[in-house]
Amino acid sequence: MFWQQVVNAIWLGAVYSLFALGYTLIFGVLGILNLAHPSLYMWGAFIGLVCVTTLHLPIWLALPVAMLGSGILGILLDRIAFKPLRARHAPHLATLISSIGASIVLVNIAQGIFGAEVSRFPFDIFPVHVFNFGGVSVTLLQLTILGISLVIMVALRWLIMGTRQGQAMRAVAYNTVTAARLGIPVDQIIMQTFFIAGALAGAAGVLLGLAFNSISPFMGGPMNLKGLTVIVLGGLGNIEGAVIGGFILAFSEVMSVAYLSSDLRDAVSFVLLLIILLVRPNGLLGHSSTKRA
Amino acid sequence: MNMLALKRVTRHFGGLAAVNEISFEAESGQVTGLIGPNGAGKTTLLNLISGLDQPTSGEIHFLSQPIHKLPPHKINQLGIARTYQNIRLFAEMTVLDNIIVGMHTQGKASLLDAALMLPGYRAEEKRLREQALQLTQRLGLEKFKDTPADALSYGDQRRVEIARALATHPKFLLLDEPAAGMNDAETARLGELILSLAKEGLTVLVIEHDMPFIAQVCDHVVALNFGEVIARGTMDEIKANPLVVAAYLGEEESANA
Amino acid sequence: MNVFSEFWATYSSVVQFALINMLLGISIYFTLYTGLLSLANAGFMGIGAYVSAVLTIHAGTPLPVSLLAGALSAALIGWLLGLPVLRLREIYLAIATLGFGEIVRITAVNFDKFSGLNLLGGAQGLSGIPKLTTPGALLFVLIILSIFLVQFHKSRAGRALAAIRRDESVAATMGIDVYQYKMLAFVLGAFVAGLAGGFSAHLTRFVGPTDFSFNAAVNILAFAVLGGTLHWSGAMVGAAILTVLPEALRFMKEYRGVVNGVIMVLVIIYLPHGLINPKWFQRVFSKRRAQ
Repeated sequence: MFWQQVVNAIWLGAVYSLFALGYTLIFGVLGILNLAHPSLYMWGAFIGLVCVTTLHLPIWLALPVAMLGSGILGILLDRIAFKPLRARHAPHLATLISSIGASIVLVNIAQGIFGAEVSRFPFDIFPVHVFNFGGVSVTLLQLTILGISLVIMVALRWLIMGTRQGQAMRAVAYNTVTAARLGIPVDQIIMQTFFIAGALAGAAGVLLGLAFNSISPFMGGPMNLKGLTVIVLGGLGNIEGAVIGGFILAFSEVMSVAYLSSDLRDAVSFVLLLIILLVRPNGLLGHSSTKRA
Repeated sequence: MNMLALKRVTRHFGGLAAVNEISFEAESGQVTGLIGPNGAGKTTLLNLISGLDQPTSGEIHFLSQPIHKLPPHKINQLGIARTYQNIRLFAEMTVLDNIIVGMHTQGKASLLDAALMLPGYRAEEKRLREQALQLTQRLGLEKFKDTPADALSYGDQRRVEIARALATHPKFLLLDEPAAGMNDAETARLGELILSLAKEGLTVLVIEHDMPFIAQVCDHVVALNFGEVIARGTMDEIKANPLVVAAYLGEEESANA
Repeated sequence: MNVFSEFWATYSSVVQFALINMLLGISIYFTLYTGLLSLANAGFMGIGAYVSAVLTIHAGTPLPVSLLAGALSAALIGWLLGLPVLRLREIYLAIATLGFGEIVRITAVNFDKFSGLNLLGGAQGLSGIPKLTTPGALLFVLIILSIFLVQFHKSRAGRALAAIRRDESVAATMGIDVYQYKMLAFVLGAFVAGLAGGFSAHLTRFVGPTDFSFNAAVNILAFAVLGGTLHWSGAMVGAAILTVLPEALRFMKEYRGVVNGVIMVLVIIYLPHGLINPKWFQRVFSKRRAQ
């Protein structure tokens, strides 16, 4: 029973982390709390769904296409809702409000196109296969989700810490003016950051859409609070923190459902969020790795 | 009697000591000057005294009472007011409104009194307004009283900041580079104002780079460099101190480099 | 007369919703005026709605008593929530209050189950509330609050809040107890939101646990963003426009909701101070005087 819960928490935590990585990346590099991030996640799920149902693509192709789509949406989001504000050095709260407005637009367009009801991936899209390890059962889907999430996370870490690209991103995060003086194409780096964040959200959307087999324009709503909890837990802008935060939240949720009451699951993230904000507002890992929070 | 006493006050930022084991006293009714090259820790010290920042170690006593753990509004209520090096007026508010905000602690009317327009509230508003007008006159700001603060010249804005600080009825006034951006005539008038305030019993601590100005107004000067007190005494003593001369020469050299 | 009664028959509920939303506009104005971005107002509205509805149904209290009790409960919870969260700055306050509506929802859904009482109706919501809200009562409260707002700006407290919004460190060195005054703004906002919740419950005759979610909080914020917070009437004007607009945009069908979002983005980018900017009026007046 207990180990089953641990297994459930691990793959859920992986997806939470994946979702939160893009969220925290935008904050780390640009200092923007992008509340439209959950809408990109929702769009990623729908793009994946359309690939599978309308275009009859296999799911392994639908995932990268969805990531590409939501990545492009991320760039559009920045051009429309954030870039003009950045140009005039608007306060944090203005960007926050703009991101809320953008998320309303994204959700309502999705509702207009796909309808308000819950959509599902076709039943046979992914082979149903259950492994059994001494009473603990894991589906092939869960294992795949965990695997893909981990691969993407490692790739992101390599991109940021091990490439010139990542070096430039960290320079922009440290100080845009200095970065520009060093000859770094700041605008291009910001665009790439939004693309990566959007793609990560899209991947999380497809994977969670598959796992719960439920996709709707409103699926971003609950993820908003969860995502915030995760990134505040890890420290706003902190990449490693977001991964740790994702697993902490998943474990807290799964265990409170298993051993306390399922009614409390939705309260877990808020309570965690409040506690961490009051006790350690800079997150568990202290100051952010990108030096902005 | 000393009004303000700093006892081995230290403030670290990360590994760096912006202020290191500083001790000095400001005598009641005197004007104390705080000089030193840029980065010597002068503004940090003012932030520590006014409560915007807390010392890493050491104690600050005001009227024999420890204040280094108090929040800024409590420190102000005890009688310490300040101005800012980078002028921090309430930009779109008029000069008079800026000063009236400074009179906050002199009012007693509650929100309910105001909502019901009770006579006590009205009388108080009238009294505060009159006092604020008197302050504009004293500082030569009466013609700007209805002008938004950010529309004034640098020198005038500095005077509004002083008026706003005086509006809190301080016993001790901290001035952070009050003459910066002023022309000679304005600086001279500022000097006279500070001397007349001191004559009325106000104690003043002033940071300034303008040495003739410091010589004109200060009874006592404390010189800082690299977060430490390098000399203290009268202006003549300070001027003759080789450490002070070296500190300023060093600054000029690095500026020329 | 006939035209009017026809209009009223069709639009009386829209008008009353607009008036309730104007109350909500005032409620978020208090915090924004102080420079606080709090997203808790929808939750406060929920508390006011539930408390007042339960009192009316089970204790048979008259509307003013129910409303006042609802508003005071919201203010009390606001005070309790404010104790920790008002220590947080800027974005962190927004994050901390963002999930408050969710807490209200979870409490409302589970209250009956855990208490063993039959009060809030769980996930189904609370229905059968007598329809006691009248346009007259709403107008009366709005007028009182408007007078209060005008006086508020001329008061010591109002000036303190304005100073905090502009520079809270400087305000503190002027002797203003920043935390206490933030609390005042927060609790006033909670009180007015609770009042709005009470009116809403006694107008729609229903309180549902999902009515006070993040979306509701965002709608309230949209009122203030559109109208602006440079003048106290801004959020009220914003509320009126955003309530009536969907009626005018029926032709857009399911895409109506997009408009709210588009307005928020456009206003923040191109009209950062909102529609109601006192400087414009001053300019218009001074031009007239010059002629």
